[in-house]
Amino acid sequence: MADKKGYYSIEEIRENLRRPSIITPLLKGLGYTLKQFFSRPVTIQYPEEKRDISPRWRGIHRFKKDENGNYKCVGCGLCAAVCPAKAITIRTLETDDAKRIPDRFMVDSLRCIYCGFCVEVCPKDAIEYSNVYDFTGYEKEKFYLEKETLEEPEKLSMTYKK
Amino acid sequence: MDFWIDVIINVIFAILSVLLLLLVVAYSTLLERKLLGDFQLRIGPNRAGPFGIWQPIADGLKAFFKEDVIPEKADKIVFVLAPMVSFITAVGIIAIIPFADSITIFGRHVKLIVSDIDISILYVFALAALGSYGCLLGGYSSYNKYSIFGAMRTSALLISYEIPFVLLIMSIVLVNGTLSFSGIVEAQSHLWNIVREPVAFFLAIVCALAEINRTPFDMPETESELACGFNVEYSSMKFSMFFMAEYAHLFTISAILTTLFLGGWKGPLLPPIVWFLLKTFAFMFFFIWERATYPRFRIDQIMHFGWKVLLPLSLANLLVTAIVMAIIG
Ligand code: SF4
Ligand code: SF4
Repeated sequence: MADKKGYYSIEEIRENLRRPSIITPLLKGLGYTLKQFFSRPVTIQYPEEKRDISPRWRGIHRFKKDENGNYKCVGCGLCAAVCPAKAITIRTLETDDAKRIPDRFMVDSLRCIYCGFCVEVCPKDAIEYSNVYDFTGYEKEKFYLEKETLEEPEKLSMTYKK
Repeated sequence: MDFWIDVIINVIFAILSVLLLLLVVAYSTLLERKLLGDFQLRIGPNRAGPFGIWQPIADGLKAFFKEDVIPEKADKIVFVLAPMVSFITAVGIIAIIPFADSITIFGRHVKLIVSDIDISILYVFALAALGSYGCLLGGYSSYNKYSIFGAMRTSALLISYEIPFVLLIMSIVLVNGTLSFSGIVEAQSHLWNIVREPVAFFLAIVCALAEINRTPFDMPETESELACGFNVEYSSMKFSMFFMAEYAHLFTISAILTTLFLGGWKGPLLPPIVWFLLKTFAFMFFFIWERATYPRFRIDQIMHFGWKVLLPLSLANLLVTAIVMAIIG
């Protein structure tokens, strides 16, 4: 250590000389960056290339249908009730044979915080998350997703050609 | 008549070399961004044209159409003048760099050097010292605390590193016995100066880094502390002029180091101009490479290093060179 005035004693200078010089670590650093230079970039060129995401990714909701092609939803309204962001609008219709079906089911995807409560609360397992995350639009109206759109959220996914 | 032909050839060559410099400047920004991308496992600009080759043009156009803001309290004349000083002094250095051997056009020998003066080295240092006024005036005139700090640091840095740089180059002058660049290139026909003066070579690279304000000595532009340093108030073309001056410096200092240490355009087989560009770009590659590697020094560490390490070492180098030359010469 240098003293207050910044001078080194002879012993300290000898000690410093014995230590590995400052040059080697500098060269080591250069070598390391050169190694990086010759390795492949890790960039994913986003709009053309998309990264693999987890199957549990919380994307746009999917409004599921059963094997007969009817909505699984029974319009109980639990999802709208539990939604902390008040993003779900639901209107229930009662049919003549005393079945309840959703007349309107809309997710305001600008309000939704993707908390997953609606998926969890649904007694009929009628909502699940898709993997769609790259959904864009110019008008606000585009983000109010009605049940017809939500049947197949994959259609919302962006396609981009260079 | 002969005289006028000479003048015309010279003017054409001067314009050509400035154009070459501007081209190199434009594309060294792209080169730097591409190489930095490679060093950082990225790709770098690749949207404007294949491999991003239109990127410099796009950047230039963008800068051209930006609003040109002059701060209310700025010293207007100096504020406008400063980027020009920076840019012109940076471009001026290209005049004394020998690109290649003399060629024969229309039966007359034309030297591929804009102005083959005997005092090239003095000219270089004069212009480099003037160039630092660009930073200093720009920082001083913009009436901003960050810019004045940046400007002060720049001038402190340049003064501290110019002295060892001059001393190192003086040892080259001692060895080669001339101040002119073409003379120095001639003197290296058999043995490059890097072999004769290895210590000077490595120290000169360090000084050159400080001279062109690059990492680890990028004091004037310490983004993290000074927001951007001396050019914080500049926008539009004035900013790009500072920017272009910086990259012009990058090229010219590489060319100067090539001339001084690596034998200039001399080399076997390939044509001289190719050798010259190869060596120059090797230096530029190194400067970008080390930028990708090293962090920045603190200002007091820089001063410490400059005055307590570089200056004594370069003095000692000059002394040893002088003694050796006195004995064998
Ligand atoms: S994920 Fe959460 S915020 Fe979004 S709709 Fe479902 S409950 Fe509402
Ligand atoms: S909780 Fe499920 S069943 Fe109930 S309204 Fe929502 S989607 Fe339909």
